[in-house]
Order: sequence, then C-alpha cells, then structure tokens
Amino acid sequence: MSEEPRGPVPADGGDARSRWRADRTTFQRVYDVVTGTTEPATADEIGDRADCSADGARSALEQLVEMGVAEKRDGRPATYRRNDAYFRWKRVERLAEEHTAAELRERVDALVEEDEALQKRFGVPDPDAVSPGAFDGGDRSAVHDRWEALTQWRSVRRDLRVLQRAAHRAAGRDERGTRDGASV
Amino acid sequence: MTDGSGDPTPTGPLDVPTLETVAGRAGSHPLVERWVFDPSGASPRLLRIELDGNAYPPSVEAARLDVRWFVTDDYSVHYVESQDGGRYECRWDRHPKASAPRTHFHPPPDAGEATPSPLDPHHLDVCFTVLDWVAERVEELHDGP
Repeated sequence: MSEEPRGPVPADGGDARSRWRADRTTFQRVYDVVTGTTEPATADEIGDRADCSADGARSALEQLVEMGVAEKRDGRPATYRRNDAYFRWKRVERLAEEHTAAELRERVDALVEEDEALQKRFGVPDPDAVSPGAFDGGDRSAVHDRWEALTQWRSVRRDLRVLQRAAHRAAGRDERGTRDGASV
Repeated sequence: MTDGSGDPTPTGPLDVPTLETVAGRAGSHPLVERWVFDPSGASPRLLRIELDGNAYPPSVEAARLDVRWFVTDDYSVHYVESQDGGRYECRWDRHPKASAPRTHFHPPPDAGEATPSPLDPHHLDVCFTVLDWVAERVEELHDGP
C-alpha cells in the first residue's frame, strides 16, 4: 500500500444504511431483505427492514413471488419468505454454466474426501449424529474450532448435492453439444 | 433446537444467498476494495471482504472482514487488520455458547473474552453496523493516539 493514503472519510459520506437507501430502489431493497429472510415475515415487517411502506413492500413482494424468488403463505396477514428452491436451482444453473462437467466432478471428489475426513474427526457417519456434548468443555478456541468444523461439514453435505446436480446438468449439455456438432 | 441441557445445538450449513446479498451491499461501500468467496464460488466456506488499504494510515498493511452466515441466522464476522509487526482484530458472533449470550462480541485488540452484543440478527443490519464500525475505526486511526 504505497499510494498516498486518501484519508478516513468515505468519498460520498453518510452511513452504510442511508447510502443503501439512496442507491437502491424500493424493489431492490425488498429483494435484498427477502434474500436473507428464511422465516415467514409480513409485508409490514419486510417494509420496516427495507425502509419502505407496507404497501410498497407488498407490491414488490408480489412481483418477487411471481418471479419465483419469494414464496407467499396466505393468511391474515399473509407472510413471505425467500424461496429456497429458487436459490438452489439458480446455484445449480450458474455452476453448470460456468464450469465443465469434468471440473465439477473434480470438485465433487474433493468434497467427498473432505467429508470422509470429517467423519473420521467426529467419529460419526453424519453431522446430525454429532452429540451436543461434543461442545462442552475444552478451551475457547477448541470449542470454536469444533463449532466451525461442524458447520463446515453441513456445508460440505449440501454442496455435494448441489455440485452433483450441476455436474449432471453440465454433462447433459456437453453431450447435446457433441451430438449437434456431429450432425453438422 | 435444544438438547436436554437447554443449550441450543449448532447449527446449519453456510447460507449462500444471504452471503451473496451481503457481498453485493458491502461491495458498493467506498471502504471496500473487493470481495471473494473462499476457497471458491463453487463451494464457499467464507466471504472475504478486502478493505481499501489506501483509506488506512501507512502503519496498516491490510484489513479485511471474514464473513460466515448460516441458514440458522447464526453468523461470524471477523475483522482483521495487519499492522507493522502484529494484528488488531475483533469478531461479531451469533452461535450457541455456554459462557455468553448467543449474540456476542469479541472485542479488539485481540478478539478477547466475549461480551453481550445488541446486534439485530438481520443480515443487512449486521452488514451495515460492521461497515459503520470500520469507517469509525479508520477515522480513529487517522486521528491517532
């Protein structure tokens, strides 16, 4: 960092939240809120978080429901949350688009290895089988390490499913490509 | 989720959509240089947000935020500043912990013993609060002791 320091004050001033309010439309702010909303919330609550009216939030939410990004639960009042299936699908599609089937299979193999190492470390076949007692005792950093390893294991399991689907999808695409190429 | 002792059991996989939103919002902040998923976008383990070194005084070599967010709304946001011959760090956490409330803060300079944190468990609140904290930290560093 050899350049002249340009000083502490952010160029356009203001705190992070007011910058967000100024830079993003109501629809974009509702989108930002909904992507992290895993528990059902009313349009009122989402409007509060997105700094907009309940009506503004509701109209954005209805669009997001139509797009498949959010899901709606009818009731009085109705509630909304993100549509996990949409985000899983989007992740699979993007991975299949950005990588070859061979690359994706290589990552699957690496994750399988990581999974085996974690099975050995915890001495159980599955992250759900780890006893909460495993987190009692030990010093602060040891407990923190175990906590991180367990969350990592759950991510490995989830990513395995996602990457296997993406590899399958990419393989299908490659095969179609070859066939189309051969018929020319 | 609780076991017999009343302590909640940890905790779900990394929440990729939430991390992508945090990355996008942090990425447009003037103090943020760039962000990456580590070790890769295909199977991320954390979101690394690299802060703009030119905003810091020359004594600071680099500064970054390591962000983990889980589907249970647990999280860990680790601020690390590399200085001449040392580091300065703190961590905002939400996860089950016997000796502190679920939402807690490990204060600087060495991310020490946890203290209760009033932070709302909402991804954008956490993101904005931490970015404002970084802006204040940079200001303090320029004002000097």
